[in-house]
Amino acid sequence: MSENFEDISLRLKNIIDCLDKNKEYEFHFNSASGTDVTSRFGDLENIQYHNDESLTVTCIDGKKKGIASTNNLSGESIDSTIKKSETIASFLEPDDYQGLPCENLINKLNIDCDINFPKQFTTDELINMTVECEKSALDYDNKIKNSEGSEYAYSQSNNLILNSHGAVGSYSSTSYTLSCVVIAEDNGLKERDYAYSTRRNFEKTDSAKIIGELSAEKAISRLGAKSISTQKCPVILTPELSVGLFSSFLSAINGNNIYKKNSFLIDRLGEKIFSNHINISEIPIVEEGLGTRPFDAEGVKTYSKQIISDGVLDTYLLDTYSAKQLNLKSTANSGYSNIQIRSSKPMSDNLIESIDSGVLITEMMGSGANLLTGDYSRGAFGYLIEKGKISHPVTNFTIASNMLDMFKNIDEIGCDFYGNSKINCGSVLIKDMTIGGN
Amino acid sequence: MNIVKDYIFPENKLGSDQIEAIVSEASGSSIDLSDLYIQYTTVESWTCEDGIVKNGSQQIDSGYGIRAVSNEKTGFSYGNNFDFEKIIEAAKLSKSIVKSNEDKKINLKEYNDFKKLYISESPITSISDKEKVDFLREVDNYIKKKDKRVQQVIINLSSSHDSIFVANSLGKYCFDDRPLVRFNVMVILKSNDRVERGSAGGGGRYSYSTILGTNKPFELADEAIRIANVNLDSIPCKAGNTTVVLGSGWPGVLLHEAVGHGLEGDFNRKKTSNFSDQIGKQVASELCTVIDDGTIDNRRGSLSVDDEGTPTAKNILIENGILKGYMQDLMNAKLMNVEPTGNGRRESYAHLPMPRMTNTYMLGGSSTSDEIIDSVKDGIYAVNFSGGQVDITSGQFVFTASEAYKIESGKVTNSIKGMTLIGNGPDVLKKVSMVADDMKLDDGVGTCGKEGQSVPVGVGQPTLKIDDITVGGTEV
Repeated sequence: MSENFEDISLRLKNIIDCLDKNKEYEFHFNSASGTDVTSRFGDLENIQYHNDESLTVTCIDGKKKGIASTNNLSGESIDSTIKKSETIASFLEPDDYQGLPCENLINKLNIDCDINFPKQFTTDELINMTVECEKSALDYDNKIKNSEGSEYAYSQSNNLILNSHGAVGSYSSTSYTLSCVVIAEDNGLKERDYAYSTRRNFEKTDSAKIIGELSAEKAISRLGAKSISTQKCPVILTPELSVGLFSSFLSAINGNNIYKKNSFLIDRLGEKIFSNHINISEIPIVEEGLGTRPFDAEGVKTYSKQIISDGVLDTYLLDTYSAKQLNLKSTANSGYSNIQIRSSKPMSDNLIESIDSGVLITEMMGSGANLLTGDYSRGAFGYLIEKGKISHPVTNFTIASNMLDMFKNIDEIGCDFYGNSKINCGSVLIKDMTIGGN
Repeated sequence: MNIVKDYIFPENKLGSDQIEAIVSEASGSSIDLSDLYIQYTTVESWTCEDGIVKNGSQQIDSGYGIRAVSNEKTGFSYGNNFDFEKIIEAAKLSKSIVKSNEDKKINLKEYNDFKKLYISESPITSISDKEKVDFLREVDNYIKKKDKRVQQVIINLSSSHDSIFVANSLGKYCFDDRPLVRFNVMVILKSNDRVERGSAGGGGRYSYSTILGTNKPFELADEAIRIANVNLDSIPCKAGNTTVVLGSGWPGVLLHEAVGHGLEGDFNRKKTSNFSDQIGKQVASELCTVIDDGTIDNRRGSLSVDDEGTPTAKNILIENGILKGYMQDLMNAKLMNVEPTGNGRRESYAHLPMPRMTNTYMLGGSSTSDEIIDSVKDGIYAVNFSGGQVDITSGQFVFTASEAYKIESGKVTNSIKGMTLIGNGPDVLKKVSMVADDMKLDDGVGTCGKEGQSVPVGVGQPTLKIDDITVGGTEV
């Protein structure tokens, strides 16, 4: 980048201030740079240097909204991008609900919210780190016969929003991920698994050794998987999979899906969606939080809120447009920030102990969560639980239910919180799901 | 016109000397392959929702990516500032994977001796924006008149135009212009207490005129209504093992996931695929012949040249059940000591090329679809899928049907909902017991994801029968 982020911010601010006052404008500028390093079998395999920037201009002209974007930040290119957004708007049809936010707007540049921790490594240091990570997996057990390598990914990004009603906001953040993927082999069968750690601050990522060993342990534990018979039984989802289930819930209460009637949770405000003990909240500013952000994607100031209180749905997640469609107010949810899932019951670090007969699910495949009907049917891999203990790995089966039933059937949430997502939750125990096996 | 040649080069004073200097900078005695990829892409999208054409957007993205490969190592950097000195710096960064290196001067020659499979003009400027808006309104009106139970209609028309330039250390460079059009309809129907969705779409590498002004958009609208309607009457699906008949066309996505990915060169070089070291072996029932063909005119998955400048080809992957070959890019072909197959693809200048599918399909057999249905006493007929995923190491795959029926005593009966198929790619291919003569390619809607990169692809297959596969559902 020839021009730094602050200079571009000021330049864009001057441009938006001079545009036609009869129209509304929004500028969204993002830039990111970073490095990815992958090592495989003890040597560098891949090194990639990233450098991206893009400007998106939204123009609303008489309730008509046009969007244009470019990654060329020359004055000439910005001008033609603005013109293109105006031209597109002129061809569209008026939509009464269009409009940029004018209330609770952010008004501060370079906001520090403890998510920006730049750190420089030399290429050799990165190669050593990834080699060490993979080596701890390869050395873990002689069943680890192959590897897809260990990868380090670093990105530093800058995010700026401006709108013609006075929104001005920017912040910077970093993200570090270290991962390892290995393949265990035994009796001609191969199983692949991975482990990773993603943090804002490099110092907080799990060590190379821990990640390597965990990937090996997971791959080996999959070997010798058996089939399972068709049945109804309790299942436990690992924290990682629980995150996936709750992100389906968050999509279902996204205002854009609600007003389009593309959700199984329409007309459910104030109703019981989960069992009594479950509470879900959004906390926008958490130190080093993966979802932390001082304003949403439209420049509206974020705030903490309860989404589920004692099982009851308190709010939808609304941006300006969907809020107008539903005759509600924006909840600063053009996107969401850090989400916390908690139970008011005691939260155990071992949900398996309480299960007499069931399945621990560690992997799900396929896109079988239907947002419109709530029907849920996905391929799965896991471990049979017998008398409170893991018995053996099981494969080639599906789990199915309806999300409404799944939410009500969450009996317990563990305290083994997942740190690699902006959705913070532990394992969940769902008391009844259909296993489709042989 | 190619925007890289006619606009980016003159605008940034990049002539053949500069391009040769850049490719040379990324090359050398210890570098096996280096390439420079320059791209200028324009994408537009128009959406009609609630009866209003309310969303329109255009996106322009341009940049370069420069790569240096030494044995199994790759260095890569990219940017969007076309300043010569900046690109030279990027080339040096990419080359930094090797510690010692002697300079090598690369002389470039244009290569254009390949068949053009599509027009080079941009669909975006082929008709006026007003015509696009009017068209969406027309389809919207058509759907609302057709069925009173319609609760929501979302219609999208989008297209892109990609101008690319690629030059490599093998001494050749070429240009390609790639149009891509996509039309999609989604309807939600409500009847009594039930709501169900249906969607249909189509597209390809052509201009808007190939679909606008034809009956195709209305056929697709009818299809979306039909699927939603079918699903309104669907009953829960019984879980367990059963016989499954897959319909022709789009269900070929199962082949793409269950077999295609496992036959990509990189996974087989690294021996992480379930199909590693299986060439010449029986990997499927002898009724199965599977082809990847990037040379079909105007298809969504087709390319005149791949993203490394290799002309695409019609590659036989599996012939009568025997594994014949893998799909290769330049790097993996060299490391595996085979010829490149024209499957080196990348999402954009900011991504590394890797072996990817183009249009992947199974050839037709000798049965008829009626004979196949007739032969099933108790099973499932799956006609449409909404998506799938595969673990190429274990071969495990999963698919979710968006339209499926029960088969009872040789007759297609009730539609079923929430059906998921799960199986192991090689196992399932061995269980293919009947293949019909009705091979069909999909309508041009597929997008394939691999290692975070998306590329447009095509799939296809005839109606076929799989004995004994695991089906997921809510009923025990």
